[in-house]
Amino acid sequence: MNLKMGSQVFVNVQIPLLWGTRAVVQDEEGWLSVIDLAGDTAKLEILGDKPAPGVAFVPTIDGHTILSNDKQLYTYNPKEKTLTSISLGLPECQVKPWEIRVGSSVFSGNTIVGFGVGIAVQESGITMGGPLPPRLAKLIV
Amino acid sequence: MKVIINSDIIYHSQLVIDNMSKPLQTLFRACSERGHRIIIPLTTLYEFNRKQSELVPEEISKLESAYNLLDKFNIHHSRTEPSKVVKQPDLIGLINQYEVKTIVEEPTFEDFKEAHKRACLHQSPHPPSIKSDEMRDLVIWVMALRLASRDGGALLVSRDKVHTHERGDNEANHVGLVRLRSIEEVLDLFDVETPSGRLIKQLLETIWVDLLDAGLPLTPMFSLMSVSGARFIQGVHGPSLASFTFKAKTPDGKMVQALTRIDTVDGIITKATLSEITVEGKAWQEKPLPLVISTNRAFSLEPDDFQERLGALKALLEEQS
Repeated sequence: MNLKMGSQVFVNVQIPLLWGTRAVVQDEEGWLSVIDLAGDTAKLEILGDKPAPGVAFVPTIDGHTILSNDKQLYTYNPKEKTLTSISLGLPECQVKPWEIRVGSSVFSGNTIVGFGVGIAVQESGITMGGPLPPRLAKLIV
Repeated sequence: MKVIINSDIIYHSQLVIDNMSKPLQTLFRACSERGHRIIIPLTTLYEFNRKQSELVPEEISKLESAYNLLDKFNIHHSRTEPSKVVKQPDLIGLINQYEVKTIVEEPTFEDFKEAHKRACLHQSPHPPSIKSDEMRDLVIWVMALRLASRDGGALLVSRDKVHTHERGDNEANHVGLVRLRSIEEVLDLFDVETPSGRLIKQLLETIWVDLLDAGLPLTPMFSLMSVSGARFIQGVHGPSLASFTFKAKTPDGKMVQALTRIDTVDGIITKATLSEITVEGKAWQEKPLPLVISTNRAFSLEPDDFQERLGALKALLEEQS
């Protein structure tokens, strides 16, 4: 995948931003989509800034809370382009035109070439440029 | 009522400058209008201040960089010393903007002793599956019980596992401590219209006549008291399913409540299923439950841009494959 997102340039990268097991991509309109790759097949959760069909959610004052089996997983704020974990144990992630912010770490103006994952965010830390974690579904919609 | 706020609710990942997040602003306004007091446990205040103080040097550095960049390109600008502009926010001052009575509650020695005992003995409400004995959470829990017991009830807003675990149910019920996990749930409790409530209102208003035709004891004119526990499943064109509990008035002024599920297909409401219907708290027995109402009514949706959004994502992914 070759794309520019949050001022980073991702060249030949399979997943630009991996938030736990969720791929985060930004299309040409600037909308974010979130795809959970934890199962056998990819599950689209946020499609272009809004909940995707089939997804359980609750609208909130500043976005949507995504649910799974009635458990609140995370909130997406489309205005701020921010993903905030509720029960995933992950740092907050924000995609601004000039940077990608993960918790208090800020990535700006980097070029990442030839990696499975551009920026991988886990509970334990952040990796820039790494292999695709095993057992993830293929990123298709 | 006293509304006790845990640090995970008041947390901001970015430096707060003039205003807190929109949901918190709505909560503070709602508390102000209803005469509820906000209780900030000292623990919450410390945690908020710690996080915010970490962000101050980062913002100062960003401002310095911005000045340097302008200087580099000889762009004329005025300069204010970054350390004079970037300040650590005053949480209580920020809340007081909304004219809501706010108290910083310090734990008592007894609170500490009780929390310490529970931590050491792995006593309720600590979930058995969690290893860490988090004293901060236990101190807030003990303090919340104390305040609820003293004042005949209180509300604790927290997502923390210790505060929300079922092991705490009996203790909380005993002193009238209501526990809610989100600001939206608090707003539902206060009957403040939330985005969920607005959507439910729209759906219910559309089928109100069908509910009346099915014999439900509702006022002829659409009128809703409150909505709670709303959940949705997204469809292609707006929600395909909504489940919630609503309260409304009967024509003779009694309160009717029903657990409701509404099914829609492409913006058409096709079915409403109502169960656990009560009037003034007593089971409504005029019809067998669940009451299933078939209908075929269109409800207005926000602009439908599904195809556009799907197209944009597919274009991005297909371009790459």
